[in-house]
Amino acid sequence: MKRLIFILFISSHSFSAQIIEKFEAANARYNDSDYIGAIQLYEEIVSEKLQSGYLYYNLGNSYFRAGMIGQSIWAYNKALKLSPRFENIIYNLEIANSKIKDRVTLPPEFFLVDLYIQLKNYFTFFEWFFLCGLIVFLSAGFFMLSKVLILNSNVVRRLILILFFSAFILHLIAFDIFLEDSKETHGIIIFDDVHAFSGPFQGESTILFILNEGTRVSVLQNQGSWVEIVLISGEKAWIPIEKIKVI
Amino acid sequence: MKVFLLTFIINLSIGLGFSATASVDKNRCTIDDIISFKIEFENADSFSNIDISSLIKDFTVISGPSQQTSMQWINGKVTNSRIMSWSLSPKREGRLVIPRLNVQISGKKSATKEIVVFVSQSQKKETDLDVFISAEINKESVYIGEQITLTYSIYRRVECSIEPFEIPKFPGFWSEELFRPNQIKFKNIAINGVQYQKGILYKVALFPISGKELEIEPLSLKIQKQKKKKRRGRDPFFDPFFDSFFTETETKILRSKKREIFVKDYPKSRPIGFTGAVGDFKISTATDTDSINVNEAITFRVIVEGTGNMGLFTIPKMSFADDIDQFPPKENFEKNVFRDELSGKMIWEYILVPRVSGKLSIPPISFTFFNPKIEKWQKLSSKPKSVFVKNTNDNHLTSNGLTKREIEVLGKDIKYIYNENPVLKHTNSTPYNYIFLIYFLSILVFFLPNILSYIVGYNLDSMPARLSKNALKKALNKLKKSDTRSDNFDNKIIYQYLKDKFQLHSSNLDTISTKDQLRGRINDQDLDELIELLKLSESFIYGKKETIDIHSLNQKTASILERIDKSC
Repeated sequence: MKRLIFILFISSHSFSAQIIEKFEAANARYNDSDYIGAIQLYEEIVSEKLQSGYLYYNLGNSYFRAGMIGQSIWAYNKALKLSPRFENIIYNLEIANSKIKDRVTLPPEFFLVDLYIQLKNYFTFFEWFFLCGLIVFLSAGFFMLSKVLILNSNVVRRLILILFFSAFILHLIAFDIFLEDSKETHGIIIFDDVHAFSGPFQGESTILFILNEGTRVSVLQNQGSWVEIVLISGEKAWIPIEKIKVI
Repeated sequence: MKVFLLTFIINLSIGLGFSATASVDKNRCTIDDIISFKIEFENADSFSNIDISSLIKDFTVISGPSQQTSMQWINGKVTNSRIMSWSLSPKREGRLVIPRLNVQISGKKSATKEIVVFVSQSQKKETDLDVFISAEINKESVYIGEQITLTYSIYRRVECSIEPFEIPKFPGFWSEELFRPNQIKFKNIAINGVQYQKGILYKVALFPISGKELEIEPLSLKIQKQKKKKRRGRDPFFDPFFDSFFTETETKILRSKKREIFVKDYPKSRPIGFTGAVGDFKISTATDTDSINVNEAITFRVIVEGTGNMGLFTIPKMSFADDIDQFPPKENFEKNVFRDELSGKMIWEYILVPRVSGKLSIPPISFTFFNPKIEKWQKLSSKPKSVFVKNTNDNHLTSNGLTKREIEVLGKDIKYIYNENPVLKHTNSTPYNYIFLIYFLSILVFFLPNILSYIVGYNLDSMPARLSKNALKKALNKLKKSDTRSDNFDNKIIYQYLKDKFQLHSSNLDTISTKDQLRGRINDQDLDELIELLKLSESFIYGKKETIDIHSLNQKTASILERIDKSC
């Protein structure tokens, strides 16, 4: 048994060391301006089902330097999902977004909605969920204590009320994020001049519009090698699956 | 028998096949003449569809095909002939060829022979004719882009009706229609002493685009001319009075003369900035407003006014400052009508959106053109314009979708990569289990008192139970205190005890409500004694202090409370 644990420990250790080595090698290539090489190594790490905001951030930077704006926007979006509070990602994503050809700018939201979206995006879903758990635990604890000990003061009662209320709000936010994540899949167009068709076949369907790299779309459904997308402006169309990368 | 013989012969003749012969009534004629062209089919049982599209190159088909059938018996021999005929008018002078025409009747093919027709110039002078058309041009040698006004007019001495005609194409020219009457108006005019009626058919402005020598193709016109009749005898039926009822007409094709245009070269070398404008122009510029806010659009107009080849040239590209967004200009041409020379106004409308505040200056625009009247190059410049741009603090979206923030960002670069070792996690290893564990623990904590009492038997008291339990203790302590310290009896101690012990809710208890609430919960004797005590204490409070000993009252209270507490 001891031996087994030891082996497991060693293997996992060497495995992670190997990955770290790869990451460092990729960074070195980036520094030597070998962006394509860096992309290859970063993508290898990604393909081993490992992820980190920083990994995607570096990948995004490499794509940006290599001139693949669409791919870099995809990577930054991925990074932002994992590390929403890493400011450099937001900064670089803004730069990448300013380089794309098609720009759909939505009218500014009501400031409260804007504030809510900012707040929502400040934590990941896991973090929100964890916060929910914590608050629920705290309120349960206080409630129990107030019952057992004689903590019948108004302060305690109010504290419990506030805790319950904030738990409720937090759950609503977490549920909102959960719904958003499970309902909508977003993708980034990674090629220029992508023809968007009215149906999932090239033959008789009409080209509805042409998309350029970096455009953010929602993915509705898959059919074979085609995906149905919907633009922010609400237009729907089908494009080949290889033209889009899902965030 | 006869019928049999007849059918036999006819069948025989059909079996032998048919022949097609083409002929014209004359093969030497003038351009004004009309040629009658016939194709005769012998022994054909039907007419053929003949494609005469190859004829149209050199001839105009005035009428036809008309069909004619004849059958003859000569000495018992049957000849069956069908004739198709056309009236043709030659389009040009010289040797014209009516080409071979393929004929096909009920599966059998044949072809006609070629016919050569020599067409000579019109023998007659124009003025000898009753009716003719002319093509008048105002000049024969022009510069590229200079206007030639071409007028087609009809002159007539007899009544004639004009059939709809086609305007010839003008290869090598850009043409702009000047006048095309719905109904031709005739004016009297004398040519060499002969009275004619003149009507304008069509007027067009032509601008040579390229080349050295250009040709204006003739206009052809089909008319129905009234025939002059010879005077007949004084027959009442042929009296001139009836002429108007029984006029005879004649179809005629009229052609104008071919005109040749010589195109001159521009003098010297072309100046830079020449975009093809030829004529006499003036240039001006205008803006719709003198001051605007940042990110608002102004309309800037360049107006070229004058006479010349308007529509055939553009103005040199305007260059605005980098902080002005510009949209491709809209071009608009307002033509002055009722003029023989093409004139009007060309307007280029630019929409400009300044992105920074301050003085926006629009540079002067210079425009070079060739003036054929003085045969010189001319260069005109507009005046520079300036517009004051006011600053606004709104972060408006710009037209190309860039917000101000993004514009700021454009000049910057991305931030450097992250060089520390990141914590890498497996894609599906988000530890949601921990959170569920927390929830489970919360539930556990919530029900901990109940669970403990269930398992261990230890009763973690609830608040009221605890209060009830400690009520007596508290009351006795208070009594002891009031006994030593004050001379007053405080009946609140009793009420507080009752509240704690029996969870009485009302905040202001008095003897009556206490009695009501406690009835049945403690035995009547104790209740009566308690009420008595409360009444006594009240009377003590409201004045009769001397009559009652406070010590004994305290003791009495303590003993009753103890009794009540025990009995419950």
